[in-house]
Amino acid sequence: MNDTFEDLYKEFMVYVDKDDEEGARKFLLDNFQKFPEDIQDKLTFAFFEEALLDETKGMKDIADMQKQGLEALSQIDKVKKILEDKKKIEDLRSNLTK
Amino acid sequence: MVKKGIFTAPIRLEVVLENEGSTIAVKKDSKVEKMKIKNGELNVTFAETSARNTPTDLSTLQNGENSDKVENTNMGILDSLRQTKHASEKGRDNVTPPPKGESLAEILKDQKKSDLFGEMLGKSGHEEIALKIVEKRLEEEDLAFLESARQAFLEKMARAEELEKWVNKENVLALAKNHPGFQIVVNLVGLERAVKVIQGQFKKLAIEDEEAFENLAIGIETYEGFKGGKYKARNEETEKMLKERNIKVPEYEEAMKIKDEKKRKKALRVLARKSFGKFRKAVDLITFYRSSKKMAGNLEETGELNKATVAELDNYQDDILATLYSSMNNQSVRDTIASELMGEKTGESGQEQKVGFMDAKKVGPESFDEAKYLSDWEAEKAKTNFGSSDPAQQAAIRDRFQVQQKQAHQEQNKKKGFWRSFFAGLWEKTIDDKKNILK
Repeated sequence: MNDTFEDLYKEFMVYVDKDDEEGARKFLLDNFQKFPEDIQDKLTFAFFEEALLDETKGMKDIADMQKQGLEALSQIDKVKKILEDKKKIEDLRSNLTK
Repeated sequence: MVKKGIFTAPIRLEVVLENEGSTIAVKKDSKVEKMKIKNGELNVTFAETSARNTPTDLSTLQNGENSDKVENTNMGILDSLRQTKHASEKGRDNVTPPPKGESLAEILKDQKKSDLFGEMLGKSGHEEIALKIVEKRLEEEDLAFLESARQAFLEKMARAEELEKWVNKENVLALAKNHPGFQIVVNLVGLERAVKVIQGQFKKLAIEDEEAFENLAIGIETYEGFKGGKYKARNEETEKMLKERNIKVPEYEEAMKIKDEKKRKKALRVLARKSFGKFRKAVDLITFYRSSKKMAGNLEETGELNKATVAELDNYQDDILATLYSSMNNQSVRDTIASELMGEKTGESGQEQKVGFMDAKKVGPESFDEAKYLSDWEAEKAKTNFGSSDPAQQAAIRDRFQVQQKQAHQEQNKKKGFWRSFFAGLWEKTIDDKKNILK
């Protein structure tokens, strides 16, 4: 590690030691161009990886979950309608027998 | 100097055969020539009965004519050997169809590919073969394995190239639009360079970290699936249904008002987890009744569901709607639900699979143990006869050692995530910088 990088790394580690994730992320972005090119490349790829995985995280699982939810709601609607109809019939019957 | 085995170096290296029965094989115009000492004399015989193969060919090689060609096919002898072996095994003429894709010679001729190929061999536990390539002492028996390794390598490279193609300006911009950090990086390095840098990582990743590579491949496939409308339609259907029912979930709306980002995300995650638990129960119950045909038309005949009141069903409905609502409205809620869903599959929370911020530093430069690094190096030197190797071989042994060290580090730190990626990258930089202390 060269001196500049050593210094940057030390500064960066202050955030890490404080468990300040947001601060550390901000530091990396604010000082991005001060880092050596190979580190810039690694950071670029790490951000890309995160952007892609965040964007697609659970996309399929959530779509499947939505499908299950929509199907279940449709079933509930049907059941509710049957129950309501049944109740209406019972009410009507009881009114008639009064 | 007497050496046994197949010489993969250019034939212009001075080789003197002293023992009877010693042989060397030389590639010349894609054909194999053999020399043998018999009765104290050097006889040259040819694997192919071609009129062009005369001792003159050998002398031209030794005199340096065609030397460019020979040097450029440093490992081409492997392909020739493969032809010879194939011909003798099949008992027919030795014209073997050329292998599909790049030949081993071509792979090894390209420094980057050669390094990756060596890395792949090492990673799959075939260090000995990798070392044989480095020390140019491959034997005929190694060829079958090398052929399968070549094919595996080409498959990985082809797959990496597919992903590289996906990384274009349009897709990078689309991702950057939804990720503020990545957006800043793309603005700083420029779109064109960002695309180039990202593309440049895939082949390396395909060999060095298969798991990370697979995750990205799945991510890209999913993204494409969404773009192609496969999942988008479901999202739109859900959104439409929620609008029609004019759904509002006060708890979420309250949580969304929290100004502190950290606290807001936390509150939303807690709600999402709670809501998802209820959703799962409701859906499972409804699905159970449906699958056991106790619902709909047969409802009146079922004792169990008759007990379900409209109010109870409304509760189930609310639980389902709350989760569907949250799945539409906030990324951190989606993340939580995705983690819960992932947890259902893996038996652990998706969040736990990631390396946390504090944990990640354990894979960073601080974890580099120089004393162990140097003692491993001494062991490697002893194992590889480093001292008696020529400078080129020593350089190759050093490179291979570096690769082994990186692999060992990766094996110990398989978890993923941004910070792991970043710290592991720093660790690799540290070890790259340390290479010059390997004496």
